[in-house]
Amino acid sequence: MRMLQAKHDIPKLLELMDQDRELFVPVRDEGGGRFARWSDLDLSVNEDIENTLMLAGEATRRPAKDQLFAETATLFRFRLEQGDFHLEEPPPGPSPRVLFGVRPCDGRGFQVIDTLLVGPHGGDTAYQQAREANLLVGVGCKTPGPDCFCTSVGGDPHSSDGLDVLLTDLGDAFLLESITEPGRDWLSGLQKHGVGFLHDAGKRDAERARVAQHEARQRVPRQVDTSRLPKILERSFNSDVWATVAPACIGCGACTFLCPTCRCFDIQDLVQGSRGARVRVWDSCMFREYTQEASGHNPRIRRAQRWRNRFYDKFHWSGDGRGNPACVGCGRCITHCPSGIDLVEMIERVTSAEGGA
Amino acid sequence: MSANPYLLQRARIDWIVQECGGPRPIRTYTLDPEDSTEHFAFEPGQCVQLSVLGEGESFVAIASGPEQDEPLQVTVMRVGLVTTALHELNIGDFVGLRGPYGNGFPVDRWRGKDLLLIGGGVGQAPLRSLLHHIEANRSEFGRVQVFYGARSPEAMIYREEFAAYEAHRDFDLYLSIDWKWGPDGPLDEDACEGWARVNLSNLRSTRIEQDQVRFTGFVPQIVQAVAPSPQSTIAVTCGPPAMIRRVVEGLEGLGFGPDQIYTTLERRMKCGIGLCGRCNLGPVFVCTEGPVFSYAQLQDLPEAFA
Amino acid sequence: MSLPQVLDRHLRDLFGSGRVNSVLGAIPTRGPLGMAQLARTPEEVERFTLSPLACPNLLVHLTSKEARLDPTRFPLAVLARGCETRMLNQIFSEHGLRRDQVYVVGLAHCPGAIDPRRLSAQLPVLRGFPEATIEGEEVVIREESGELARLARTELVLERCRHCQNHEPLIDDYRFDLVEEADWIEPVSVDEDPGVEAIDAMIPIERWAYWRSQLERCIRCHACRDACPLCYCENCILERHTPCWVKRSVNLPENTAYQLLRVMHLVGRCTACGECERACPVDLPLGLMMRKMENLVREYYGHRSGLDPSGEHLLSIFDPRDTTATARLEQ
Repeated sequence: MRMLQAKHDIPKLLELMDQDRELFVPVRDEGGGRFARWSDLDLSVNEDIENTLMLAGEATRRPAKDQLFAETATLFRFRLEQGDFHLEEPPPGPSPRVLFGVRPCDGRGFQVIDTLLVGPHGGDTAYQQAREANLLVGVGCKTPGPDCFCTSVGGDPHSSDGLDVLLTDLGDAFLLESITEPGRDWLSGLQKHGVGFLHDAGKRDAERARVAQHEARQRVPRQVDTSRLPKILERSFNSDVWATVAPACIGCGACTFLCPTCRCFDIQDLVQGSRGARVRVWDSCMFREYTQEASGHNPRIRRAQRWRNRFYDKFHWSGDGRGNPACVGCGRCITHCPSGIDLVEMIERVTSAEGGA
Repeated sequence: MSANPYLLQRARIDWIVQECGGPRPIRTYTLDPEDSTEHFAFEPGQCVQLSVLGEGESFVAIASGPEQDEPLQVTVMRVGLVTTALHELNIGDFVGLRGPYGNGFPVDRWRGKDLLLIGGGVGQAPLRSLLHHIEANRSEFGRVQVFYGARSPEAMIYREEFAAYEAHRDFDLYLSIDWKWGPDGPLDEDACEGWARVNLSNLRSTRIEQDQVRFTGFVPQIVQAVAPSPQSTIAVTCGPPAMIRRVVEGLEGLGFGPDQIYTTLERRMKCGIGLCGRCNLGPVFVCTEGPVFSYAQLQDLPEAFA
Repeated sequence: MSLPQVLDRHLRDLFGSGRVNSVLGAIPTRGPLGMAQLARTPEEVERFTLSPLACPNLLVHLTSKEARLDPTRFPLAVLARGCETRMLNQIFSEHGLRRDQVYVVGLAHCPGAIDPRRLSAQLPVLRGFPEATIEGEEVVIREESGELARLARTELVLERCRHCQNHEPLIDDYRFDLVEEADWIEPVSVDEDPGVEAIDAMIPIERWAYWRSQLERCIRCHACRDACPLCYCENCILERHTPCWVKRSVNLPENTAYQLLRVMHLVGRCTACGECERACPVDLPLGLMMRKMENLVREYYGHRSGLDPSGEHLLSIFDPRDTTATARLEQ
């Protein structure tokens, strides 16, 4: 299903979207942008919306990940008694929501997390519930950011992987295309109510979109050959290259916390009086403490070991279950690394050091 | 969508045994899981997630045997946040329990074979589970040699049980303490009473001549001195990483193949169900695909001996 | 060779004479930031740059856990601007490192360092590590096309450089002038810091609303702590479990506790290098927080950290006649 939406009617569309499902949108803020609840924003004028919503240009600095995989999520609640406890009834799952303006790299990121948050004893319920409750409406990247390299890892500025609906910027309008069945249903629901500003798209619009998508692909600023990595990494774990790979790293978790596919977590209990909750909170494989055992032993005490682990996890051990690496090429870890470490350069360095051997 | 995998059941602490004291005391807890109207089924070598609600969870090996008539037991050393809180609990208090997790020892493949069980410190817990299983099914296994070492006589766990084995000679038993030797013998003779100072190069004959069970020395040395035959034998070793490394080296020297040596690995764990990421050896999670690995498997896994 | 010949030769000679085991400098990256590089051989010095784009504070590679795992890097020569020499003083005065472990190559007449985020906000299409020079009040950037962009220096430098009072090295074993003639940015007065004044002018409820809106954004990635060369405790209180002072959960109370603890552990130590703020991936105004704290330390104790390598460390001074803090409390 294809619809056309004039840009100046976007506010009407957003109001409409917010009726059946709670609407979340990418918002420019003091921290480089993140997703926020539409109803919490005080936007009425068109200009405001254009300035505030990040539907073009650089993506939100914080990926859409945190909307489904929250930094702090409750696993269950309990009541404490002297030497005893009782679990509380779980609250109802999240109500239906729509994430509007998800970038294709973030959409592909969810596909990676889908594979990682499932194990032999079942999946992470909080994530799976959020995944089911959220309809993902993506917007293609007309102008990719400075460190984007999505096309080198199986992606595209207009990839529809993991999304329910994809928007393509046609200049004066957006083309809305349904990708999945729920996306189609949602779009036809909008159409019923959006009489007057949501139009059926014609063949010409679809062609314009293909051209725009092709042009955007040419604008992806960085390319790197990752095709040889799986073979190279198979034999390079004990290579000397890891000792030299990122000596400037300061061991913070900025790269992993801004990554659309990182999902490592810690579990903690929070207690107030007799009431408590077990929560999962983001953690990072770049932290020394991450693998520190209570005995004092730490199998990944050195930063080079942690870097190697992260690199292998992105490009060898994990993936999106469809043959692509667990990196979606969004470039956030490059642009925002406080130490200036460049993942693309690391890929090249590993490839050239180990590729010939 | 699956049921919430983090949910746990209440388990009542029915009994507590203080195995040893010191700065890192070890206790064995007998648990009565509330939801399991039937037996809490598991394999020797498997683990459970034990919760002290309000403090957190700890991934611990089950220390009791899997047979129907045995109550569920875990042996826990006080080292971190959760284990410290657990040590504060009393009989009648409740802990949270989920599991069993992990793979357990492949005992079905070991039937008919001779076994070496080589344990050190609190690492004996999963071996105790295995040992109980062997006891209950004694005829299915060949000769069983049990090595267990601790820092000192006081640091030994399962002391009464070992004493019973010693009295009844159910297994070939080699108990040892890491005694520090001075130039003129052990630093404190009294503490060493009953623990033979032996010529490690000729331990075997010492034992046969003197019917000795208790020795001084490090576990890998004792194993080396006894020099068990690899013929149709499986060796299982659990304990501190440094001990495991030396035991494995020694066994290889004795001709044990990598598929004849098994061990359990310890890593920092959180979820216990292969989601949270931290216990990986390359693409393999210790919590789900371990903690039991053959040495042959470990040779192919990165950071297994880190 | 990207270093001036005289400096390049001096650094090579340091290896040759056996004076140092490594030299710490910055190399260009493919983005507009620059990256620390520990040269172990004279040849590696070749890639070093003095570009104002190379802004990370390098000293973290002297005090980090990683540096302590690798004592072979010492004695070490470091290329240090004024702000970094002040911090080195502080590290020496609290015995974090010995003076003889560090050979200080002082970079004098520092005209300021360029904030990559301010740069990319002004030149969003800029790629790579462009040639950048500071000419008086202008920063001249050579874009890939060869075109020159001239931008106002005060609009482009790091926030910390707008407040800098240490353009010249406080200590050095060798000195190199970054520009021929010193031409500093007139620093924001410590007494009239508009950022701090705006906070002070707020009534408590407004002030809390402000910090709340900022702290809510913190993702607890530890970049502020890990980028700080003065955060080198072996067991950091922010990640201890027994007792657990700050929970891992990311929410306003824990984020607030986290940042307050971080600030409190830098009282009398912070030299306002602003590296925490620069490192923050979500742009928290951490420099403002540190400047406010520094002002309080100055006001209460008349103390400024890092001015003297053999100076005393504020929190280890005890003087029974000291009335500064108590006098303040009695008011």
